[in-house]
Amino acid sequence: MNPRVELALAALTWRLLLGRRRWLALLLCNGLPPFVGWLFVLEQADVGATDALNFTGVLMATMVLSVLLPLASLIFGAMALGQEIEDGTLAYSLAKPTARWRLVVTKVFVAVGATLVTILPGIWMAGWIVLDDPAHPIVRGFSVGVTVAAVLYCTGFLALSLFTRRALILGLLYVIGWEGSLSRLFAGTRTLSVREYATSLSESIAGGELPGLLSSPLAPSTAVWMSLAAFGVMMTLAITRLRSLELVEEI
Amino acid sequence: MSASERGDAARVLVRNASKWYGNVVAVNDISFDLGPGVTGLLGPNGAGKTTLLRLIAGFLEPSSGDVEVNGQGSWRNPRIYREVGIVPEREDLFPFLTGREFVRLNAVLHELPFVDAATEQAVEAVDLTARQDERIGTYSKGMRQRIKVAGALVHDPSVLLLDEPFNGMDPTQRLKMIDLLREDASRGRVIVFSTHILEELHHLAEDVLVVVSGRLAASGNFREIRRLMTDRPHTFTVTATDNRRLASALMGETSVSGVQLDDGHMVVKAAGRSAFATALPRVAKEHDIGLREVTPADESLESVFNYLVDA
Repeated sequence: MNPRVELALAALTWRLLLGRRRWLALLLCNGLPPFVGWLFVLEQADVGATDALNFTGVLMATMVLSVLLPLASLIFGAMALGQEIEDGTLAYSLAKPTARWRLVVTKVFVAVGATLVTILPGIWMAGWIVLDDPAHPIVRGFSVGVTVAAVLYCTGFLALSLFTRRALILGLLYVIGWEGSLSRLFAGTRTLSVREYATSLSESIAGGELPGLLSSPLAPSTAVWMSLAAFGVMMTLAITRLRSLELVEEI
Repeated sequence: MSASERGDAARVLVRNASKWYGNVVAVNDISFDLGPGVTGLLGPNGAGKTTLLRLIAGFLEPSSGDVEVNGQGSWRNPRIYREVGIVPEREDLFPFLTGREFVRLNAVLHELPFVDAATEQAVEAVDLTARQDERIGTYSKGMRQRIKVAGALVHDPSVLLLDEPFNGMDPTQRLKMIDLLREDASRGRVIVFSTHILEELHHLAEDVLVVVSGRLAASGNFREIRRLMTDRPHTFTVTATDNRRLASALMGETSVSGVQLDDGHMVVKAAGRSAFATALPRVAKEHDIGLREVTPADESLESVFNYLVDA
């Protein structure tokens, strides 16, 4: 196996994902959490440690985990292969003797990388502004949670883009409908929510420092196993689908 | 081991292949066996040429039948791409890459041992060395076509599939591309290209497959197909200074099978175009009749292809 193939594919995908002014989304996502943190610090002249901790937890769980992360993952995951399917350039990648799993793994890897570059620096900056410590356990916890969720979301949205041309719309419905509403309303559905896995893992690494209302009822071990299972299923679906993907548009 | 590695001649075999989408039949029970040389896929737009090329390229699964490249099924078989080069019709490329980067990317993805040398050779073959460091986004349509050909040739495939490759090329570029493809074919490469323009085949393809409505309407030598197309019955609208007298004079000509007088003109059914083209001015001159307008009435590509289907 020649790693130059993966490197070339990764470089191409990176340029595809962050081209066409998509880097503006990167700036916006990275800038929002520190900006809100800065407003909080500005507003509360004398910030107590507990208040700062609570605010950081709420900021990470609501703004980052529930909004920015799924949206960034959706854009990068769905477009990693979806954009090439849309404009017909996937033919150039598919007309090569490269095993399809190598193509999928590389694309997922790059989509996750683009998502993390879009989200993690913002988290660290917000931690630095509000907690005066970018490596605070709560920041470390959320960094891990965000990474796990980015892998799952990106894999899922990439797989979705291989089944439908409307991956962005369906992905958005999933983020709003399932992750945003249903999984919070019913306890039983929480075992099927990426956000819950991320929250549970973040909490376990943060050492129980998350504010009570944010904590997840899901045991960290369950979150780990469910994440692995979901990743395996979605990756298998994506690879299987790409192997038998028909290029119906002009070659 | 590939065909070229074994020293076998490259082949493209399509056996009773069909492709349908729901109730729409795109390719209907087509069979052919192609060896080294250039073969033109001729047919009107929407005839199924692109679908057929996609089937050969392994981008579509045949609904029935078999498609093989160098003895291997092309569907779900990425290994065939070591032997196949593909030039898609769509112009979309990666606009942020330079021409050289695009060809190099293809070389890397093919895992070639000498990437830079292969890239240089392919870019040179399509005469784009001077512009290779410019972004593809700034290329003209013809240059994009050529850089796609370079990308498809970089791994020296034994089978080259090109979908409407001359689109957007100026006459000089066309001639250069024709020379390149002919030279490649003479070295044992199977080259299949699609076109809806008969004249594009003239300098390039010895063999022609005519596809109409998803069916193989005719196949064989280019000159024979061209003769069939030229000598088929033609209909002309003729306006002369004395339509009635010219009509009766033409009725005695063997190249004319029927004349119908209409309002201010006549419609002439001719057995063959070339014979009628000689007879008409002769007859008009003999009877001292002036010709005002002669227009072919059924020269659409579709009518030519329909004739071939019926023949």
